[in-house]
Amino acid sequence: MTTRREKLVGFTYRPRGALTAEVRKSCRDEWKILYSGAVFGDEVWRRLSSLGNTSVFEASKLSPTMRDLVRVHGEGIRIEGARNGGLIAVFYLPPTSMRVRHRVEALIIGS
Amino acid sequence: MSIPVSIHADRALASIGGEPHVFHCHHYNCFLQKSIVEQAALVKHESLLSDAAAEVVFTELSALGPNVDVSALFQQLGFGLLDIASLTASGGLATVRASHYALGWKSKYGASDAPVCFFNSGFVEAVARHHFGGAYTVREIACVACGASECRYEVKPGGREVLQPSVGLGTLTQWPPRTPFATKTSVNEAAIIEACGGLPLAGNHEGRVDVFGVSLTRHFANYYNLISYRFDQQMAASAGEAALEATRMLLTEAGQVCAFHTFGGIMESAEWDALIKPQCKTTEDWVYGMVSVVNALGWGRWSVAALEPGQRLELVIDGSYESNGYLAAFGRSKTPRCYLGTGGASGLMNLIYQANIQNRPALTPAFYEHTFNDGRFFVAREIECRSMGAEQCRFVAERL
Repeated sequence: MTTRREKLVGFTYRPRGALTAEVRKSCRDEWKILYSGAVFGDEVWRRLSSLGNTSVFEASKLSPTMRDLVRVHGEGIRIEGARNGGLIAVFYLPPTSMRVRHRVEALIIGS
Repeated sequence: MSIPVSIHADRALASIGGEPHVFHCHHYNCFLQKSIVEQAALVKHESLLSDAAAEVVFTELSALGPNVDVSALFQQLGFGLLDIASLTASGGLATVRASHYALGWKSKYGASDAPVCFFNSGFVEAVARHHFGGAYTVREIACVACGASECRYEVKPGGREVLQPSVGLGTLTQWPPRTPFATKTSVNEAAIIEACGGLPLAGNHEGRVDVFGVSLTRHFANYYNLISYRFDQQMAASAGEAALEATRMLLTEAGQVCAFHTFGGIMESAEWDALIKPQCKTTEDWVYGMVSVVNALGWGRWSVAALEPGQRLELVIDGSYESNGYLAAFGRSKTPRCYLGTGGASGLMNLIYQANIQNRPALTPAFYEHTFNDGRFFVAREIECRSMGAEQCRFVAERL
C-alpha cells in the first residue's frame, strides 16, 4: 500500500445521504472500504452483480434467522455482504482506480 | 483437485491425513513467529520454526501417500502457490508465490531484513523427503517480505536422518455434557457451524482463504503446539524459570492478539452480518455467537460456563487442540498449557465489553494498545487444564 493510501486508512466519508464509507486496510494491504448506514436489499445486489461473477450462499435456508451471503468477484474488486444486511465490504485489489470506486458507489446508491 | 478434510463434528476437530488442522489468520501466525524470532539470543529460532513444520507435514504426507499433490495441499491450506517442478533427488529450488507468511508479515510489520517463511521451508523439506526419501535441508534464499518478487527455497541433501513423527489428533478423552449456561442464548450454534462449513474455506487460485474478512490458513494444529512448547522448553533451558514465565506471557499475548484481530475481524465481517448478527438480541449473544464460530474452527469445543455481563466470563474447552497435542507429545504438565485459549478468553471479553466491537472500530495496533492498557481491561487465567490432569480446560476472564 502506498503512503498516500496508508494515510487514508480510517478516513470516513458519506457517498450520499446516510450511506457511510470507511476506509480500512485488508490483511493483504489492499484497500477495504466498509459501506454502512443503509439496508442493502436485492436491488443493490442486482446492480452490483453487473460488476462480475456473483455467488450467493443461501444461509436463510439453514436457519430463517440468517441472511443470505452475497459475494461478487469482478475485475480488481471483491464485494461481500448480506442480502438485506447493513454492511457491504469492498476489497479494491491493486492497482485500483478512482473510477472503479466511483462505479461501485454509484451502483450501491443506485444513481 | 482438493484433498479431503475429515470433519470430526463430535470433537470439534478437522483433520487431513490424520493430522489436526485449525483455522488461524496471519495476525496470530506472524505474532507467534515474531515472539519466537525476537528471542533469537536464547533459542534456535530458525530450526525451532522449520523443524516442527517438516515433522508435521511429513507425517501428513506419509499418511496421504506417494501420489498426493503437495502444491494443491499447500494452496488449499491458504499458504500460497508452491512450485516444486525443478526439485530432484539431488536438491534444487522450490518457489512460493503469494506466501501467506511473507505477505502477512509485510502487511503487519513492514519489510523484513531477513526471510520470514520458516514454515514454508519446513514444508518444502518434508516434500523433498516424501518424494525422494533420505534427508534434506532447506534454506529460504529470497523472501517477498525482504522485497523479492517470490520466495525461493534452496534444497540440499543432508540434515537430520529421521524426523520425529507428529502425534496426530493427540490424546482424546470423553467429554462431559455441557452445562445449561452453554445454550442460554438466542444464538443457534448448530446452524452457525453448519453455515461456516458452507463457506469457501479452501484456498483460491492465489492460495488464499479469504473468509470472515481475514486471510486464514487451515494450519497444522501440531505445528502451533510444537513451536509453542519447544519455545518454552528452550527458554527455560537457556535462562531459567524467570524466562519461562515471560515466555508464557508472550504465548498468551499471542492468543490475545489472535482474538483481537481474528475474532474482531470476524465480528466486523460481512459473514458475521449475514450469519450471526441477526441472531444476536443482547450484547451477551455476541459472546455466544463468537464461541459458536470458534467451534467451527477446529479448536475443540468451547462453551460459556458462566457470564456476568461486562464483568466476568467462565469458559470451558473440551478437547482443546493445545491440550490434545501437549498430552500426546509432552505428557502431563505441572502448569496450564492452553495459551491460545487463555488469550482467546480475555481477548473475547475485551472486544465485546471494552472495545465495543459492536460499533465496528478499526482494529489498528494503536487501538490494540489502547484496549489493553486502558484501566480495567480483562485478563484471563486458565484455572484447570487437561494437560495437568483435569477433565476440561477452564478459563476465567475478569476485569483487572
